[in-house]
Amino acid sequence: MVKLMGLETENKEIETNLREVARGLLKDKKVDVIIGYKKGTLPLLSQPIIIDKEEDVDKLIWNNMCYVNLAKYLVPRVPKFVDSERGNLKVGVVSKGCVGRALIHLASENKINLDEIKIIGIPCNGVVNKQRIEMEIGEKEILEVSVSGNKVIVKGKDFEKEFHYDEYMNELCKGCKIRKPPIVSKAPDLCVGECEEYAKIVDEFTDIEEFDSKTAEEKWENITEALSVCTRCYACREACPMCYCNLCFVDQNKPVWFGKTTDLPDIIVYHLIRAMHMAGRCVACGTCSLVCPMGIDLNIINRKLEKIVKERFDFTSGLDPDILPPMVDFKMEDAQEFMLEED
Amino acid sequence: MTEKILVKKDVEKFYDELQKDFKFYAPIKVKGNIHYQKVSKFEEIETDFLNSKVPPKDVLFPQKETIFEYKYEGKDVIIEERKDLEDNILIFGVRPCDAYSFKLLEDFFASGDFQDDVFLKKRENTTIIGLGCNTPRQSCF
Repeated sequence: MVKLMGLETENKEIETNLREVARGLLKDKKVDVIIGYKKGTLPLLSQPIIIDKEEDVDKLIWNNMCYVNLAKYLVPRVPKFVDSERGNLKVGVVSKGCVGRALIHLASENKINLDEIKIIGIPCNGVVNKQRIEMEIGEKEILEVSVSGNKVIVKGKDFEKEFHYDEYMNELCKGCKIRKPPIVSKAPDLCVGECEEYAKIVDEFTDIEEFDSKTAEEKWENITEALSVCTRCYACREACPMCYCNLCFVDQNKPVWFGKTTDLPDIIVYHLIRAMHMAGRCVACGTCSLVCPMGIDLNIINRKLEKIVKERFDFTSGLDPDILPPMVDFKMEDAQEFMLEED
Repeated sequence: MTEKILVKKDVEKFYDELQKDFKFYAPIKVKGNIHYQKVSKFEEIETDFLNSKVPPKDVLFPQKETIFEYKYEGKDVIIEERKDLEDNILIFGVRPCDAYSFKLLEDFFASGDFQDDVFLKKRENTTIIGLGCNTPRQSCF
């Protein structure tokens, strides 16, 4: 990937345009509040921010550390944006492509009313692979992170290290085909800022090519090895916009369906079943992997399922709020070779 | 209370002696992260780290633990208590913040009408060797 501008310049441009759009929306009262990102408390981090005044627009930032999928803040589990006088507030969401997709997908599941939101599209240039950078720096405190040209520069008390952004980008961002939120034809005013019409998404799934070429035994080895350090903190679940169940399957205890311990079988069952629940719904934002404190690469499992869904149902999540996701729909032409034998 | 100073180069000998009588837990590197686990070789022990991902309280208060076992013999219930609560445990290289956490746990499990023996007996038989902080993080307290 060739970058024509340096990262810093690109981010600044995106940030400036974003603030302009945000300012306009609040000024014209097209939205009541805007959810975006602000500077984090530690280097390599960002934080979500909710603003409702024009003068706070300059707190909105865009950089390659805006990991969190903001669509999460609109799911039913999160307290609604409601005002005693005005009722349901209209919410503007700063959306990179995957955030926009998540919002549209949640609308297809009737969890969001598209009339109550505005998707503030930005042309995302990816996020850094925070876990990988932290692993490489090791047991030294990171004090400062900056981007320059095509590099991420990480500084500490006695060290300075450069990482090539193209290589140390989040794996999912490297092959991302949907960098701006999709335009929804039936709701032309939904998306403001930078959005795009997607006719057909062609995804070669090159990021899981290596994994896919392994045998079933090797794949199992790989996945269970990677998952073995899971501490069941559920950060992955909490960060995922598609995990909005009031009572998660794994928390249920009348009866106890699945174990909650850190024994490997319990860990595997949790992650594989959550992945199954994501089939046809995951928008590959990578937030689950980025928030994992143990640095587990959860993307591989979800991307593999995304590939299977694409092959079997020719479906990409989060493009059209009127198309039902495959796992809640049925078509006569669906292949059933796993259940029925051909005569 | 007596104070003695041990030279760094003799810590390995110290370990060799102690691990004969204690279940020796220390910070080791597992898949790029620091964990407090039982060590079998002195070389495994890490002392140059910020802090572990899972705190050392995990040694005495793990996420999953057998409290006791039981079985039926006819109509009788036979209870088998834990047999390892009297084992000597040593946790090496604990940061001051984590060391204080053990005090908080003791206060909690010893308070009220019921004493949590599973934790308290283990704590009684546990020695904690601390590790001072020359370069705490910005977020440390």
